[in-house]
Amino acid sequence: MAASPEPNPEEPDTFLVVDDEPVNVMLLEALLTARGFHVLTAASGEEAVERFREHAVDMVLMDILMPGMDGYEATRRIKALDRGGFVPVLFITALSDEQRLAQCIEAGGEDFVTKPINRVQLNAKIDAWLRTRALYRTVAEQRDALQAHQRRLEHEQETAERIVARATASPALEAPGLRYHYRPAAILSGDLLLAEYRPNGSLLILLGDFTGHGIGAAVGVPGLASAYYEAVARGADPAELLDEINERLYRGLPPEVFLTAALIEVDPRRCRVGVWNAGMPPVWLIRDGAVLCRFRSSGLPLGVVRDAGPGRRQLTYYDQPAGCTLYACSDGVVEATDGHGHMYSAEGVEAALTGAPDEAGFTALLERLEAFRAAAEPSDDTTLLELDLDRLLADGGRAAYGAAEAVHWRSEIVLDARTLGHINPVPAIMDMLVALGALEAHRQSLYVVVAELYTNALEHGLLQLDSSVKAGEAGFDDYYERRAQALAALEGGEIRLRLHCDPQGERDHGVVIEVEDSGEGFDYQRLLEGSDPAGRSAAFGRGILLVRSLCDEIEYFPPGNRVRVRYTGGEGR
Amino acid sequence: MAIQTRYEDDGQSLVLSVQGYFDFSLHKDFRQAYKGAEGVRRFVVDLRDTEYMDSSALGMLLLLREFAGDQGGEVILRHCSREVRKILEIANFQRLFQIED
Repeated sequence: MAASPEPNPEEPDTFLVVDDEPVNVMLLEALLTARGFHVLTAASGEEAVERFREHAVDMVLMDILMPGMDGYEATRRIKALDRGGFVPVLFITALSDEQRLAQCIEAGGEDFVTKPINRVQLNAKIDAWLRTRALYRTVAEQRDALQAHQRRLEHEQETAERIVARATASPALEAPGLRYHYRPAAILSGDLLLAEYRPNGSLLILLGDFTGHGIGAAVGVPGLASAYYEAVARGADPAELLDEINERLYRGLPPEVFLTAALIEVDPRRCRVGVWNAGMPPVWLIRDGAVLCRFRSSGLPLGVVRDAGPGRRQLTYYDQPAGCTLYACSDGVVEATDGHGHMYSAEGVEAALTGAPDEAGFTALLERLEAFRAAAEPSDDTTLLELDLDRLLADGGRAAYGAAEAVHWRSEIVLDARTLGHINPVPAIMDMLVALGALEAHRQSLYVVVAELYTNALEHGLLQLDSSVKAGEAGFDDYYERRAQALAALEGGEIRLRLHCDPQGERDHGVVIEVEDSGEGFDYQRLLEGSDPAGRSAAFGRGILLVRSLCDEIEYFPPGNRVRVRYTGGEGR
Repeated sequence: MAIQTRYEDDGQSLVLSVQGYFDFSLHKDFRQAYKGAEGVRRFVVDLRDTEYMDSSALGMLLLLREFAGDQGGEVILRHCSREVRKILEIANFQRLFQIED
């Protein structure tokens, strides 16, 4: 059954007048036409249904008693054809029997007017029903718009949810020994759980909670997640990582949005677990039903103030946590409420965790929480994390990769004259050092050491350039001009870079860097004796000073074309 | 481009952001970035996106300081990481430059 055609709101309203008496039809038609309405007529119930099907009609004036299909039946059919458009049907009737009149309403009619027709009364009823009809249409339009909007919003939220899920996904969350429960209050959650291994094998887990929930809270998640994974994979140490996240959130989010967070480091190499907590419920370290340590909130949430000063965000470590389980949760857990407005509280969480037998704390807490909430829906995002430290520390999550920093390795790179003219090996060496996990917190210092030693070997050892040329701006340019020329003209010679890394060796620990060039060497004694060869503000001579300050040991070998340094990351000399 | 510039404070400050490796390979670009800056009182070198710097970078900073001094201006090193700060302090640059976090 086709719906009736849509009325056009710009046109005058169209009336369908149905009566088997032509006189009555004419009378009503004249009355309506005089008011500027558009009028269609039908002489029977069947014809009325037909007209209604063909034309957009705004109101129907319907006779009751007609041969064939009567007014009741015609009205029922018209109402069935009218899909939500609301076309009022007014019965025009000579009947005064109340039973019959009630039937008009039952058939779906809106109202009735009795014959003989009183013009004033008819007009008043028409106006009233046209107003009702207009009101109905407005409401219907708003309802449709709202529904469409709702559908679009849900679709967008689902898309956003998929984006967030992909951005935060990490295989490290599936590490054996790591369990989590995650339940958003809305489709999108402000809770955040990220886990990734550092190149040295430590597992870094960030459990965070953006202020608010829903879209506003979730919108910060993907950017943060990608920055987090990038920094951790690069080898950023935890304090550096937190500074970076803080700076990013401070710059990128409006002031009222920030992240409370707990950062947890599981470090198999040193057999310890570290926690930094800012605004989250305590993180519990539990063994045999007793709390060994509560890592309480001690810092400002991330993104609140800009403070990149060193040492502000240090993790607190617990050594040798054998047999321990670590629990962390978002405030949705401790602030869960029952039907009476009571909070579950940190004490409640602690009681559930310590009261349960070993390895059952996670399940016990979730069951108790569920029972406590009873029928009440969670009003905040809920995340619970459990770390079985024995398992996580034992296999380090990924032994082959994770043990990198403990591996003792050495490497030699030999660059001949042709190669030296084309590449700068220092970035590649830095990538290698970072990938192998050598003292990653000291990347910048190691870079200076490697870069200065290499530069010296190349520019002074092989190319025999004189640094004093560098004085002044023109000298600087001149120097690098000469360097390019000398390098292009270089026909023989080579530089050997030897790297040796043993972070745990007793006698030999740290990174040992040895650079040897095939040049003639130089009077290194003079260099070692002089404290500050060129003065503080000269444009040259600073490189070797930096190396000497940063390294624990520096040794030149005759005739001065080979130098070996040891960097341990201590304060140096 | 490894060096990006922008003006702040109605053209009174020139901010030079250095990305990636701050080493000798940038020496021309770095000078180009501030040469011809008229009426600038503060030259800010933003090291937020600097991955590594070496002694030739220190040399370039000194040249900038000389240039700024000739114009009666100063040089500020902004967003120095802990490690970079350590390098600057070994070279005693805290005496020559204003160093900001």
